Amino acid sequence: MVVSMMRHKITIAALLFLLLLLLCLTSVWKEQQKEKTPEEEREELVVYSSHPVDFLRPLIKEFESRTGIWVTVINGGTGEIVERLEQEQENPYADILWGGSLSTLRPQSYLFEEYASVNEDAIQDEFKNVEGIFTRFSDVPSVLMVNKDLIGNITIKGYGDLLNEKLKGKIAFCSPGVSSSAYEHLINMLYAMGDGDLDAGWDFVKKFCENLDGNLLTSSTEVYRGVADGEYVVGLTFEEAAAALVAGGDNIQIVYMEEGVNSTPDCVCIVKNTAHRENARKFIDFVTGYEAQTMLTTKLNRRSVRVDVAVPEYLQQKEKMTIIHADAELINVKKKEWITNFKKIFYDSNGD
Amino acid sequence: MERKKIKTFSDNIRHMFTRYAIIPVFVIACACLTLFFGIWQYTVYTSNRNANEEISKQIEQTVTEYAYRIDTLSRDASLITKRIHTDRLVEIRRAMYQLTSKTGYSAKLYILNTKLRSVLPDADLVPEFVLDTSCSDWGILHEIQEEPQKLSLQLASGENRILCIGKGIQEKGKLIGYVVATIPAEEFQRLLSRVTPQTMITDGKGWIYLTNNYVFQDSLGRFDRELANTKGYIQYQNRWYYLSHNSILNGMLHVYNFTDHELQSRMFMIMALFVLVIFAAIILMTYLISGKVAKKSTRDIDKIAGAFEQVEQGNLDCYLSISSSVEFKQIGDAYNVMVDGLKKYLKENKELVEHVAFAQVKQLEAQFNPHFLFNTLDNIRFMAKIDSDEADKMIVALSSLLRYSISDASEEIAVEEDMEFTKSYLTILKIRFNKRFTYEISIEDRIKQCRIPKLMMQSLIENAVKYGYGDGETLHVSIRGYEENEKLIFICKDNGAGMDAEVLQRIRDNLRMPVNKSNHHGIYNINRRIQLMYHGDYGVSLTSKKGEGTIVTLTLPVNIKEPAGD
Repeated sequence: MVVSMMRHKITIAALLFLLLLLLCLTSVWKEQQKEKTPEEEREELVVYSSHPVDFLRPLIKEFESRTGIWVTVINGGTGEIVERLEQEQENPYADILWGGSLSTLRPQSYLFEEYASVNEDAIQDEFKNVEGIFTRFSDVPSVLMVNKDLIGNITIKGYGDLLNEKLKGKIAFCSPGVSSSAYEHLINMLYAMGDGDLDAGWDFVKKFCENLDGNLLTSSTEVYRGVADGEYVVGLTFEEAAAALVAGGDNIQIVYMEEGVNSTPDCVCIVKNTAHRENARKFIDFVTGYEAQTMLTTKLNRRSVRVDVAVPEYLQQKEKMTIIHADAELINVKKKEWITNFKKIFYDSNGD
Repeated sequence: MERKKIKTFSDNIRHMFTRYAIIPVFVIACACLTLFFGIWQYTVYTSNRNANEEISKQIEQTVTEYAYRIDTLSRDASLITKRIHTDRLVEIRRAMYQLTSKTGYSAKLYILNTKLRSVLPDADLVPEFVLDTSCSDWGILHEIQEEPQKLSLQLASGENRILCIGKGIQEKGKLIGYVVATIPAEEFQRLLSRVTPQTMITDGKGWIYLTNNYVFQDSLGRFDRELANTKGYIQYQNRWYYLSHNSILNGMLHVYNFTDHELQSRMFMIMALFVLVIFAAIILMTYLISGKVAKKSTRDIDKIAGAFEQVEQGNLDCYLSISSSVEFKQIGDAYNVMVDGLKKYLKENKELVEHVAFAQVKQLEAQFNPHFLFNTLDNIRFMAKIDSDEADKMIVALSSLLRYSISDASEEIAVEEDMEFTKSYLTILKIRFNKRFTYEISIEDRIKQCRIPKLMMQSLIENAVKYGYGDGETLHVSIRGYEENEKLIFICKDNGAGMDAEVLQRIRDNLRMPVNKSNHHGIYNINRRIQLMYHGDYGVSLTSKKGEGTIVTLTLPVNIKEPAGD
């Protein structure tokens, strides 16, 4: 009996010891557990954007600082994010689509809701929000960017020069299906190379595709990075990307095509059924406001859509370019067809 | 309390092994492991917290010092309204140097008017990140314009690596200028390298001011907002970190510290697993081996238990032969001795019972020997005619003899009592043989209370009378009793015919035999009875010489125990 009592005592003591140890540990553990300090319901906004991150950063930061709204940014190519919006149509996560040229977005106008910004009066006539949906954010001319280190004796003044045999396989171009800047270039080619005759334009596209030598990139970022990194000699891109690289000290030259430059605005729109409508409106007012637009021109290499913000001196004045105007309605209707057509031509000419 | 079933010895050994060897070791190992884990956790926790607190404190102190200076300057409207003299300029600059040496971190000071021109005559180069000439309404200047009274704190836009602290200068409620101090992130770089955990310093919305961690950033280079305001153990991209967080300057700056947990926790997991596997193996092995060991070491116990079971059932022919260990061998040997002894005692006891019965029968035979009785009664008849007194004596003696023989005689009796009976017997003989028989008795007083087996003296006297006369006419029998060397000695001596050496030798030899082979029952039976009763150097010895007589000596132990109930 005594022995068994003692045995019980030992067991009880051991158990108690373990229990104590466990208690200590759990208390320490609990103390160190992840804890989220309760915070007031914060104002939020979700932005889908195809703008480069370096471009977004100062504007988002300033917007957050001014309004106290916490902005979440989902970054991707125009085609990619529009596709995502299509999928999320019923229950949208995004509040704002920021970026993408007007011509790319117009066929998907059912994804967005109307809003006229408070700055609409200060917008140039050319960039007025006539549809009620597409608030213009900046004016984006399509350009060619040339790596000056690699160009040598080749002269590039326009699309015509891209058919040069020496440039075969050294041209950076992105699929018009995924990038709005590439689609703008396609339109630009069709109108500029045929002098309004689209069939003549398609002839050029065919020759151009042959000179791509099978290289078709999958995002516009790859285009300007590819040229800057020396992988390609010349790239078809949008002005801001090239200008940022020039400002960054890369040995890059911007060429405005002599055959004509199609300058279309990119947009900022509110996604239909947004959960943060007030914040979204504030955002549109902010990015079209005087300060943001000034920032755009002075620091971010873009052309403002406002009348009171001048084109910066380091960008070529529009008067010196050959500006062409595409038929907006036709582009809107033909988008799918043209993209398919381009793909067909590209694969035909590089099929084997 | 319910009684448990009694287990076998080998089971007990096995249990004891598990209970007192493995379990305590296992418990201790587990405890050590947990303790180690706990201490290590605590170390991580405290070192991280300390780092966080140190950095927070340093930055808060520095920023507070400069903010205080800016606050002082912002109250002086004359900085904008009047031209600053050299003395005043030197004073302002000196104060900044003093702050630098006090805090250990240097900052640049800018005082601007509303046209964004520096009013400090020695510095008209205002860096772009503070302002842009084309747009004054941005960043810190915008914030100051909104609330000139409030201390503004912002990271310079575009270049997120410069901390701007600013305040407006007001005159009559109107903003007339700005005071801005800037601290580049590089100033605090050294502070970060002083602590082990990785550090991230952000503004209120998570925009990074300074960091040496590049994991917790989102695509815009902000501190991942999922983690904002969290602390403790967190899982991020499938890795565990310990995160401490401190919000300083009213939440305008946040300091986070991270300790990567992955390697250590994996190490600990491996250790724990290792210990567990080892113990699992040990437990399994012990379970298997302990059974065998217990069985092996208790095999002898089983043998012993089996042997005892045999004894219990009455089988005494089971012997043990154990040589596995000294203790069990001793038990085995002792058992064997015990079995032998038991057997011997059983046999002797049986014999004793037989002999006692035999002696009593013999004695009764003697008592009621018809010749003896006839002779005695015949003598009494003659005596009654010749000498009535003698006849009376004889009758008394005979009656006492008969009473003695029918009394519930116990095995042992006091010497004194036995002598009374002997005297009665001798009296009858004396009257019967008259002058042909003489006797004498001498018993030491001190042995009179000793106890002896009864009917022994009578046997000896009977023998002496039977063989003593031979051809002679008279016979003298003397009986002596005394104590010598702690032994009782009784001597029955006669002067009769005696016996020759050959007969004497035969009788002596016969005394040593376990079974009587002669017809001298009397002597033999007495000797055998004494030996059975008293074990040891006791018994009957005999000396005799032809024509000179015989001496029979009884040697008995001194036994003065009073019979119970007397």
